[in-house]
Amino acid sequence: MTDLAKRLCDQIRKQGKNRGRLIAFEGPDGSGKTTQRKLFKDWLLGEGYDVVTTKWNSSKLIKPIIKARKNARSINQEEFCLLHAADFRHRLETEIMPALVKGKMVVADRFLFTALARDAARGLELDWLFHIYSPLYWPDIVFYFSVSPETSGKRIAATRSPKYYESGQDVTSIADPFQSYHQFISRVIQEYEALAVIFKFIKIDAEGPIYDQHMTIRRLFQESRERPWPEWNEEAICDWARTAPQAREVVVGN
Amino acid sequence: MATNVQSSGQLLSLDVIDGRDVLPAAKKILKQHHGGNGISTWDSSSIFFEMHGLEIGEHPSPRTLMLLYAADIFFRLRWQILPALEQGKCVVAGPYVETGFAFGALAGLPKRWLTEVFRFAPKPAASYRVNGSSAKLGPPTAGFIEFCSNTLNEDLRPKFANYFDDLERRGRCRSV
Repeated sequence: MTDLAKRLCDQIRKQGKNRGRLIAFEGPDGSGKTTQRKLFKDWLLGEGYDVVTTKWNSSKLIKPIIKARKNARSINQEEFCLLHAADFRHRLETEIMPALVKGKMVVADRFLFTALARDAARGLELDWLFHIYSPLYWPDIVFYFSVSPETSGKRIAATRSPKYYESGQDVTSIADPFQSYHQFISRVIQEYEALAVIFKFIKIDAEGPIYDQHMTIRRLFQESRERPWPEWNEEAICDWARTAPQAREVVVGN
Repeated sequence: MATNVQSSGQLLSLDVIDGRDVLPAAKKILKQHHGGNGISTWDSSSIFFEMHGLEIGEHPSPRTLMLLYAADIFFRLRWQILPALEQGKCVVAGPYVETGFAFGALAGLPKRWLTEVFRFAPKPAASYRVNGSSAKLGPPTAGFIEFCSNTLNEDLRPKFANYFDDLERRGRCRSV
């Protein structure tokens, strides 16, 4: 472990119960996770926490590149995966890890598991996906918003027609976006359900009342504050300190 | 996960220190080969060109750059390299995977990770390099090494040259 990595890890550890936490909101489109993420963030702010939100495919640097290719419908599964992985890595290194080292709460509207579920549903090997996204900073909590493919489809259809990649038309080859969406989201949910078991997600019944879901999230978050920093995140910190210049800025900044 | 190549074509890789050397060197290599030929160059996907044009102060880390480089290689395989190979052509890919490995090694990225990232890429039948480069570093859009040098604010060309010298010494590539 380099000196810088040691300092970063020590900085997180010495914050104890007050350390920053990474809380991921995962689930298929139309599962209501964004609504819950907003409610949770407002509550955290009200409790006095310093909160940073990060959304899927949102980096200023890579999002425009992905967007242009999605609009042109010109990327295939592997390029889709690699570009999203680049966007994710950039946000992890420039937004998420700096905030965590500084003791902030990071609320992620979608995290790694979105890529795993969607890319695996597109037929890519899970093993390759894990390598592409490694080394990973694992979230302290993953809330998984569970809904049926029917509910997801109905909620999406209530407001709009699903987009080309969102509906998985690049892999289903079904001309009707709604039909394609149903088939694709069923596969995505299947992948999510498997990941939920492997990675011990906290499953939220996203077909239940919004208020009940929110109260469950608050309670589970408060319980999680007793848990120590997961030591396996050291690997991601060490890698970041060794290869990313932003790591130095965080330490220097303090 | 490796991309299937079912063809009679030949894939040749070319690594350069100066991006502007790719075309002349690739043409020189292709002169030795008969039949229809092709050249696949860096950033055919225009990912790096577009990113440079965004003029955003944020800089990607080496790992992020590597993922973007892999996306560009995949694009080139899909649209340029594999279709040409399927037609029995000889294709020079300049640069190709070895430049990614070189950059990864210089940036301290684990070799295993790089191997996995590029596991979709078919191996070239032969590898070439251009020994030497011009005195002045080219603009960021001239080539991958120029892009990385500008992004990381360090002229990486001497380090790349040492890496390719070592490859040549070990018989893994030859000078054009």
